[in-house]
Amino acid sequence: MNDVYVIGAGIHPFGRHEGKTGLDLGVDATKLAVEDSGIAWEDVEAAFGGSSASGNADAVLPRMGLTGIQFINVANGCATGGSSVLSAYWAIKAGEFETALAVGFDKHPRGSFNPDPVRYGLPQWYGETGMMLTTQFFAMKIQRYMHDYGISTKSLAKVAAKAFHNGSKTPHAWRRTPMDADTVLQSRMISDPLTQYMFCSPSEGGVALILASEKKARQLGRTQVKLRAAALKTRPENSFEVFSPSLSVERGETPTMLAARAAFEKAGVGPEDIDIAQVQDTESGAEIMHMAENGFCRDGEQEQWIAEGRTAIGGELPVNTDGGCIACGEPIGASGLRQVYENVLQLRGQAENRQVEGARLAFSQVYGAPGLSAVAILEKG
Amino acid sequence: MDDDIFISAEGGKARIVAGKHRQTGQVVFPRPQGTEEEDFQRIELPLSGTLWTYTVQRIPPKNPPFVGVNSPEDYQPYAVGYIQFGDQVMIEGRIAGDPDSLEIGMRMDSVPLSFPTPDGAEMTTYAFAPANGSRS
Repeated sequence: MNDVYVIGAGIHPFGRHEGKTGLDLGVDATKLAVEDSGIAWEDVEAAFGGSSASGNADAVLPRMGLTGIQFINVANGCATGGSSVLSAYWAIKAGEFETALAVGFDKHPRGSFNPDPVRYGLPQWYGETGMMLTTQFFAMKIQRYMHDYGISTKSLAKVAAKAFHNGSKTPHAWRRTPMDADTVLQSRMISDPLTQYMFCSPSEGGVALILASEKKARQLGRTQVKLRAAALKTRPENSFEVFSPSLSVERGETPTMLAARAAFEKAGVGPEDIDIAQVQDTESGAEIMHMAENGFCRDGEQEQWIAEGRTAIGGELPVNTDGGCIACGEPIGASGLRQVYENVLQLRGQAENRQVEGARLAFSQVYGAPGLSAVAILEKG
Repeated sequence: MDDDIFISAEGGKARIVAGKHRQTGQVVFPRPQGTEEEDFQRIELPLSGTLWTYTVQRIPPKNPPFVGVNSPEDYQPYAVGYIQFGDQVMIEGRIAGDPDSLEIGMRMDSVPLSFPTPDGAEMTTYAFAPANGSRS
């Protein structure tokens, strides 16, 4: 098996970009990643890419150059970006290719997503009666979690305030104005207990990464960032997932728990070894619950962690150092790739005034409907 | 709505119809149709359970898929929650009445709920409502 390195990374800033298509953002990111990698586009052997709302990702090819590269379009809900990275990782690890591109981009209309029940195998009445909203699921999951583990609404607000603080230092973030916890708490209630600024919003952006085998990375002198492990898991029995008209009464493990455990096993490290973590923060509650599901703390310990600032930059385990989905918004195809991009910058020491000093192991986890999670663990080379 | 999702019951309540897997005993809702249908026995759930979690839809959902009134001026927020029926199953549904009176653990009855659509018609569905005396 080959070791895999991230040799190039490019991003089109997230946000709203009038006059640009989703594809434009993907092409920009791909050009930047290729340039950053030091190889020519003609030397990229394989590609995996996804977009949810902006067409087939392989539409970047005419704009990049029709080299005959094998391109596979990836569609895996909000975990599409993570799935593209995973596919490229497998391809190189298996020894089939020396270089591969993972690309994702999107441009969503304003407001919440409005998926079609039939695409999820659900009856039409589920949507007609007003239950086909991802926001309700996240709100109900954290509502129960707060009840079971004593998490306060103040902690929800602090997570969002941290996101906006980190976002204010991040050139690729969308929301770059700091906001304090009280303002977050007093913003419009969207889905109790979650207010407007606790939620991420659908947005626009593009990210591309170039992965390479160890041999190729050494030839190029690009061994700064190693992709130590990547794993994806779908929901097991008894997991509480989005768009579920019924649930079993027993609560079991979640796809995030399974994916994190698989990635830690492959990497041969544990949660306590991680220096920096990007976790899915569709809303503040998701970040809090994912801290425990990924193994960084026990259920309920988040209240103290947040009060003590342990997840802030400068804390023991900085979480979502670029402001996460809350500050960057969520272009579905690109979101999981953004997390890896941020970790690449952090491990290269290129994160400027949000740099986490001495970071060696960086973790990322993206979660998506209808219940899957993808994890990547990067190591400083 | 499909008659086989819920049926009317005594005292103005609604009885939810679910499916019980013939081998595993697992209860699911709605009862699977088509090729999976024969694996599930039709069962009727009790008329009340307890509130496991909930939220309130404060902003109007998009149409499609939502068919209720969603204009900003006329929209009425509604609660949605999961109700646990003993050790059988939890069912997700809308919660009738005042969304600000809910607490996890409350006893809830299953009831029919009709809500207006923008064309003046109504859609009827199952829902849940705090049982009498549930607010102690």
